Amino acid sequence: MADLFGRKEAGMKRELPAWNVLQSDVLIVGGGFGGLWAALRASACGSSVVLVDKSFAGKSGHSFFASGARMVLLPEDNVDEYVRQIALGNEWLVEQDMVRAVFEGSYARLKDLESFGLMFRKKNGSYTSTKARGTQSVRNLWLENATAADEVTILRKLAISRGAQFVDHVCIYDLVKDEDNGVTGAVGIGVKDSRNYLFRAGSVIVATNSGSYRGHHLACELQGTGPFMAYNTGARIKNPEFHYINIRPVRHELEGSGILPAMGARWVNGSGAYFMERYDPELRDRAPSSRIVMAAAKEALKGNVPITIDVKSMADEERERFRVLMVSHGWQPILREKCRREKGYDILNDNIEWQPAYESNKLGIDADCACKTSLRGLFAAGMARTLGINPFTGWSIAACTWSGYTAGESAARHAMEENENKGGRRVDFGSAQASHELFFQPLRVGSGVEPDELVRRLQEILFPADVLIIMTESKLKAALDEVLMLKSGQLSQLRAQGTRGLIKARETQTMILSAEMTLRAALMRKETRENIFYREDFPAPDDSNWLKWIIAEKGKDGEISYSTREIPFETYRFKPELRAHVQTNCAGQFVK
Amino acid sequence: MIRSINRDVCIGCTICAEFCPGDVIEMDHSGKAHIAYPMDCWTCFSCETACPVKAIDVHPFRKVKPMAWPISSAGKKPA
Repeated sequence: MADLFGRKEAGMKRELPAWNVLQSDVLIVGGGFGGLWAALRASACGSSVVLVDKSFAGKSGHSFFASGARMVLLPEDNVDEYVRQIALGNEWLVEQDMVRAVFEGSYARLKDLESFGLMFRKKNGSYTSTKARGTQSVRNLWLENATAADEVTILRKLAISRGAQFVDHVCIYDLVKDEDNGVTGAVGIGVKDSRNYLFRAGSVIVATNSGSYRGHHLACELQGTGPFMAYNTGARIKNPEFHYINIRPVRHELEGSGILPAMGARWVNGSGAYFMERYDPELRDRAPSSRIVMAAAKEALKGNVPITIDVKSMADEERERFRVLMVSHGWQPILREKCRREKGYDILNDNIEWQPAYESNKLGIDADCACKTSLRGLFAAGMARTLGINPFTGWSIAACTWSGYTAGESAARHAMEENENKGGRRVDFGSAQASHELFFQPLRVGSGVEPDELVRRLQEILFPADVLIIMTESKLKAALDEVLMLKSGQLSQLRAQGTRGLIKARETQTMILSAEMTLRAALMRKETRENIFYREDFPAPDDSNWLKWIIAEKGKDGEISYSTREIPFETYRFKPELRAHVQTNCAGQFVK
Repeated sequence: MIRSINRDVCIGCTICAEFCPGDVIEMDHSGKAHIAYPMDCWTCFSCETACPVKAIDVHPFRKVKPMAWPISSAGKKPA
């Protein structure tokens, strides 16, 4: 058994752990929208379900903190039009059949949520909606007097009432297989009790997030362990070159980078100028976040920092609208009050500093429209499954909901077939044992480097504005060299104390692999795709060579092996010939 | 970052330790919540909003500013 990087560990002591074994038809890893919908659906299909979360399912990860906006296709809307706009915003590098499925299921899920007691904003009996940023007309619907946090809380309660078993505070660190190479379970460790867990299941759904590098406040614990343990088990990773960098307040969390400009707030550079006018004369401050991030990066590279958002220029009624929409519920009123009381400023009335911040990877497990991966028994949902690249407002909740629901159904069916054909599930205990040994390896490193230290080093390599925001071959290569030095040097010195340290060590290993995978893939894609990928040294799109996906998988030598895959436009409704039209509409080329 | 848990007020209900997404709160031997890993706090206010007796105080800033904006080539970092 080799580790994440293909190294073989020799001469390790084989201690047989006392496994705490849990069995189910369907095992779900991750308790956000993807995992919770999967639990509901698989239970409804008659499967026994176990859902495991590293902290408390429904309250961890990103879903709990989401704004709650979601794209919905209402019966009067045109699905083709929605698919076209999402394909366009993803520069055609998106599975159009998946996008169609997300929208076609969205109204039924809306009705499900209403039957669960959640209400959506309406006026005179009709749903009220906002236009999703980055699209021409796709609707975002908003919960009435509730947030995404309320929604996941309800989904959790419902899943439990339908018989799903929730195992909180257990960190899954590897998938396990049977002798025929099918995924039949996972191994984990109790975050609080340090017990060893072995989950045996007919089907496994990885429903975690995609991964990040603790770049800003609420992305600080998205480690990408889900997609990478799937990768380690043989699954394919799609879109490794893409990542989502957003603009965030420097000192604390506050959602609203898209909504504030739409309500009249304006971006300001260190010289006091409204700089977006120069970068996007048409959309200006309302430009897509990727363009604002790049513009802010260019200003900062010129020394024009700090970047602030001018909320003083907002009309009072707009400020009040923002307060009601974003700062009236959950933790945001507490944050506002504390900043006012202790720091002497008001987030609604004073201009605060913002900065680009690495939000998350856009890579994910490659899966079909049934959320089935290339590995028998393994399904992918939530952001762990590739769900497109453009972070449109409202897309994530819609797509995570769809993928969870779909994966839950597919996994239930697969588990049933496994039960009928093979009379149950088998686990290769040797593979579980090997995973366990590798996971515990950092405990045996005496003097070495702490996980937090290595993550900090990784952030120093990846986060400068001219590495992953404004990409060039020379800077990507330099960053890759440094990551490879960490991998060959300090990674083997990674040490851990206790369970918490072991989990952090595994997360750190994952982040280093993720960085290598992303940098190598970003070097491959020698082109720029508006709003999703910006190579300064190749500033134009290259449709003849790069209208395709990059796929990464673990090679026989243990190193990352890349290939490209053609996009099946012959089966899609929309072909990329529309580009010229789009480019003119989007306007706003970068001005140096 | 989580700043304090008032032991005199804490009723030992464990809700904060259950809900904390970063698992930074643990229950001590006397059954009271204590901050075990303050540096890992997300500053998400989950514990403060969930505490039924308002024993928890979270500072709005993180202790270490997230590293997100160093500029490698310009060599200039914002204040």
